Amino acid sequence: MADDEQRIRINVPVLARVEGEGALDLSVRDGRIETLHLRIFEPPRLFEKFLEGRAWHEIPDIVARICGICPVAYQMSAVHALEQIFDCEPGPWVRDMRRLLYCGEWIESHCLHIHLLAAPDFLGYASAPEMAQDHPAEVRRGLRLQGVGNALIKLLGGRSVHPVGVRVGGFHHAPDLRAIEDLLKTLRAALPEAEAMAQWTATIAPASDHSAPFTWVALRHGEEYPMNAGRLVSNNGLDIAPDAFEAHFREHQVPHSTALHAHLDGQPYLVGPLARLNLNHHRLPTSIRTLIRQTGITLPSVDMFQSIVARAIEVCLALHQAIEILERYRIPDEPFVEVAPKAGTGMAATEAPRGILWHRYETSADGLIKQAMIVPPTSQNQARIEEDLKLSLEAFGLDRGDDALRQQGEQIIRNYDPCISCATHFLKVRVDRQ
Amino acid sequence: MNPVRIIGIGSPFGADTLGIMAAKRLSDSNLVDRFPPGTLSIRVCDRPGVGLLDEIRDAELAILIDAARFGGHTGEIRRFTEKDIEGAVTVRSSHDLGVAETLALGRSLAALPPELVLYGIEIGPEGCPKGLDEITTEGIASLKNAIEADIGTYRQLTGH
Repeated sequence: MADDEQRIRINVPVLARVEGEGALDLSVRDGRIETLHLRIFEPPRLFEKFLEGRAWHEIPDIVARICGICPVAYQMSAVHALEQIFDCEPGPWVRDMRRLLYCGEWIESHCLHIHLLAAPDFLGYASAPEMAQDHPAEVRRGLRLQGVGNALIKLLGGRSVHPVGVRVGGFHHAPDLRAIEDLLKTLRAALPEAEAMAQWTATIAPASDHSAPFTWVALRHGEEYPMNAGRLVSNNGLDIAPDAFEAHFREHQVPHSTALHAHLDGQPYLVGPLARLNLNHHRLPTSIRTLIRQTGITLPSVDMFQSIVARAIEVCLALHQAIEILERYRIPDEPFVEVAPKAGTGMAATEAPRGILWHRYETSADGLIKQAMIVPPTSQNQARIEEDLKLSLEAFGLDRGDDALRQQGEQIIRNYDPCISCATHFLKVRVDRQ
Repeated sequence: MNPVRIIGIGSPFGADTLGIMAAKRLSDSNLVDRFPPGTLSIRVCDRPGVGLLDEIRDAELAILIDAARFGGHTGEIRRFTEKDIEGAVTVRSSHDLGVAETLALGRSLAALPPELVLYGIEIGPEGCPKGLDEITTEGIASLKNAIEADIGTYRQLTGH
């Protein structure tokens, strides 16, 4: 090596506090990052193959098992795609309840991320229990809010972990009025707490090391902040129906990872709360827009560390929406519509807490799954995480010690809340027979 | 809410069922009836995460049962005090906390019961392939006896 060359190789063998198994390889040469690989070695879970041959009515319960934190998202994308095939329109009551269920999942998942993951990073603690010693009121508040999210999921799902209340065509049961009244009181009490949490997140989020522009993608709906429906839009002009997903988004394998990377028209892109807020803040109720102004966050934002504020704002939105939905709640004649299976192909995208979750199913005439494809938000964010890591670490300063670079790298990755276990793709295998 | 709570922790899968299955065996026995009404409850929790703190809130004695690796022989049941678990690490995850981390969080928030014990059921290096078959009838009987002793001590100390 020449004297004027500096080569550093940093290996983070295991990423702490990231769901699933991953590692980061970084090679630095002459003050620039030469190669950067976020290595994911979580074994493939083959869920799409598990679904083949299964009956349509089994799918909501099976896909709920893909993730313990966002099972509702998997159920929602699945039922919408299957209902598209079966020409099933469940009506406004089911639509409302699905939004309510999604509100619960956003609240639960976002509060976990904010208090167990992001806040300890930003406040300089190694773990949530360590942070709780100095910030007990904030952590207790976060746990209370997370419990509210779980209660919403349990209301419609029967239980908060791997809920079982969802079916193609609607729900297995409708909650009684007493349960609704009790939950409404809880939600109304939680909303001011969530607003205080949002203000708090704005005070702890650090500024990003760079402000390079990038592409973000989310659903956009004509009348509401997106959860279960909408068109796929980006800040760079994309505006397509979910059916056109495969024409623009390409997943590909990289040698260093078992998780697929995704590109939009050949470029990395972001999905998730910051992307959603950037593209849909004009769809928020007035009270939430006022809250955004109070936090001081400027939208659209290219500062990825503002994601914690975006999550907290979405918690407030979800509580606000849940209260609205429950205030007009009525018990329906039936909580579902009957479904007649048929052959076809259906696609749907919904907004999981971590971003767009796209499903495609092909069914036979009797409703058996012939083929399934699931594109989770974490695989969509993989390439963007690597892009952000490269820019952020160079701006952070590559002359810093290995530990400092490792800690900064981990914080950047955790900020995306990657759910590597959810990377459900079946790896393609090439067989060479001679 | 009952002041003494037995909570079987786990999931429906593989060796992770052990804590739940052991709690169900205790529930099927006459253990609850051996104490005054309202003293003892037995519940199972499927991966409660930080929700475990809600399960043990306001309890005076919490008895947790969970699958564990502590270097014993497969199916062995060992008693750990709350002090024993301090500093242990059960999961490396962004998505929720394991039992040890949840108890650490509860400790930081002063949200743990005055008395807490955990009975770990050793899953062994192979992950306890036979599930509950690895826990002998004698093992369950000895677990029941140990828990009765815990509750007896608690009642002596509190006069309940």
